[in-house]
Amino acid sequence: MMAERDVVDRLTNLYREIDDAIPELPPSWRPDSHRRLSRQSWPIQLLATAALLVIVIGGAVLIKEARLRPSPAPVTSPSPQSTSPSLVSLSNWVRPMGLLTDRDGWVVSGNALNVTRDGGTTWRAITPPAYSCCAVFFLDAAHGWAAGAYNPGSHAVGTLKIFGTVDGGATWKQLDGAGPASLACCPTLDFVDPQHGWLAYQDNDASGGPVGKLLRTTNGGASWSALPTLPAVPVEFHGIFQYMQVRFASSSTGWFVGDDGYGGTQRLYLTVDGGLSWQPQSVPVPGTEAGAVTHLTVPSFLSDKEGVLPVTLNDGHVLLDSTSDGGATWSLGTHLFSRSSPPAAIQGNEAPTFIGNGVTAIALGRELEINSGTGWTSVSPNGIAGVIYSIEFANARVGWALSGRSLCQQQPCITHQVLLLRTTDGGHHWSRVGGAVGSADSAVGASLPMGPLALVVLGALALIGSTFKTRSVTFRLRRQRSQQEDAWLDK
Amino acid sequence: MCKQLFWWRRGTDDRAARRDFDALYRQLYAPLVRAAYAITFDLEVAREISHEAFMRFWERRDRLAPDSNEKAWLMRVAVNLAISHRRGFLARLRHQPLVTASADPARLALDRIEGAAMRQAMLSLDPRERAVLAMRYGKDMSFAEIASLLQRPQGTVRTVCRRALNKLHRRLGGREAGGDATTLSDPVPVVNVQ
Repeated sequence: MMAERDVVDRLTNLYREIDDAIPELPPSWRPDSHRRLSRQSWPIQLLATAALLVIVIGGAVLIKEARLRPSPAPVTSPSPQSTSPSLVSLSNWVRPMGLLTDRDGWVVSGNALNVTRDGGTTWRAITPPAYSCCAVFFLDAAHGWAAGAYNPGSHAVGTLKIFGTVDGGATWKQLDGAGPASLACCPTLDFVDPQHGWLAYQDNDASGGPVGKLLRTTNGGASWSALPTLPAVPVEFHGIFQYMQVRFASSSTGWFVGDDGYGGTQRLYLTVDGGLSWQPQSVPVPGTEAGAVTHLTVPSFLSDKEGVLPVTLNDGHVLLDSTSDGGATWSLGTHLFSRSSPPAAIQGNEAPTFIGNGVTAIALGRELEINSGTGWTSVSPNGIAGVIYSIEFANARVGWALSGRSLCQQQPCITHQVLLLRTTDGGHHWSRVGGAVGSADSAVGASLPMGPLALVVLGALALIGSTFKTRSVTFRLRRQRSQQEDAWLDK
Repeated sequence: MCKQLFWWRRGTDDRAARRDFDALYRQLYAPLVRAAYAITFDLEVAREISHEAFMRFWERRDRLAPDSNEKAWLMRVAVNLAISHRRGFLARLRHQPLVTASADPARLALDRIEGAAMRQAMLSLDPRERAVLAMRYGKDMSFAEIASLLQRPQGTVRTVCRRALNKLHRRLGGREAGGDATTLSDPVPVVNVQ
């Protein structure tokens, strides 16, 4: 083993070599072009100011007229998004999909929440009126909750608001939230019944360090109360989707996986009082792995007492610890699942697993290990070109998966697709879920007075136009700058 | 230079402003790229971050305090941009180990550095940890200076540095103990899209 002094020496050498490799001469770039932008931008700024004034005046009239009308209690979803949900855009730090039955499911792509009732053939946009949509949890096809940054009409960072639906997203009602003043990282919802739910999120303490926060509702989301700060920072789910590992099995018992917020040792924490207090639990690993870095996943339960806790070991092996006392204690798993070649798809994170609906599935790179009650089967899935980021099954036959693939012929490549795929034969064959998003009723647009609304729209368009013009100039400058850099490098 | 910088902050001397900005840019561009690269390990991202820092500096020149330290301000912005760069999904995808055919001499030189093992070990660290290591061992900054730049308590910086060294020690040591680099590769918070 190398001494720590050697590590420091290697580090010093590394930085010295970086200094040598990156040349001293900067590409030619002066602020004068930027200053020209500033000088010439006064008409743009004037236009933007006028647009803002129009928006403010229109908005004020709109609010005044809206107050004279009877307020609709539920908020209906806005106009649908036109994007296909089969191509998932992971632009938010939320759980991107949920499969409720073999026909019902939802996908968050970009800022759009879409649902299907026919297994993915057709889709309906049910995005709640949040600017940044949204952490989603559906208990069943009817009862759902969504939490997003709520700031309609503004591109500023919004306040985290929570919405609830009892009709599958046809209408949403904004719920009273005791949420953070600004949008925090990775909001994660979990409900055990229509009344009891939790919202976990990451915030910053006074010194700017990450802390884990938890809200609880006992009345379906009508009101939320802040619980004591979590004893650790909830770990983001395999570091890609960045929703957090928090799961409750009942109104009192739940778990979360936490670390120090800086990638330190992960620990499993248990609460038996609904989140008021937490205790770390011992998670057994093989003796050879003692002290090694492990990546934990919150447990899933097959019955009141029987549960499974996936543990991804440092070398990529996956272990399923088990409990027969409702999660009070955990026993060492007897089966080690190894990641296959090609090398681990997602290194340094827990392997995507799904446990429920009679199916246990583990994604190991591009390979699957599936147990539908008749023992473990290794599956090389047909139709999945990339690595599997997430997997869920509605029953032993029907499942969804998110898979990523590169779009470029040459490396380096930063253009990737994340596809929503579906199987109907237990994971052996997968095909891309198709269908475009259909229309949804929009009572909000119909109920608003059109005159002021037109003013607001006009103002917003002008504002967007002025912003776009400013941006396009900036992009031109950056492109020019890049060309200058290239020219310098070619010398 | 300080007096001149004060002038062009106030916009009273356009020619002097451009000249002084150019001097500052030439002086600090490379250190900023190096610092950002030591955190992101992506040369293009590091360049973009450095330019972004200078653009922000120029845009905010009227709001900087007359006695502010331009170098520290730029370094703080660049380091914070590099740390927060991790959040984006595409940013993670960009960190995959790549077989590059680029003719960029700087990138080729960087690719030769320490090989894939050291790069992977560094990428397995949290960006904050990489930032602290880069400032401590790359810039020879004291813990107090790092704490000031990151606006964190000095004790936190020491802890982060210690933990990062321990992680590197464990990971590089494990690799050198004869393990196969593939099967014993330490956790790297990146996505390798095949």
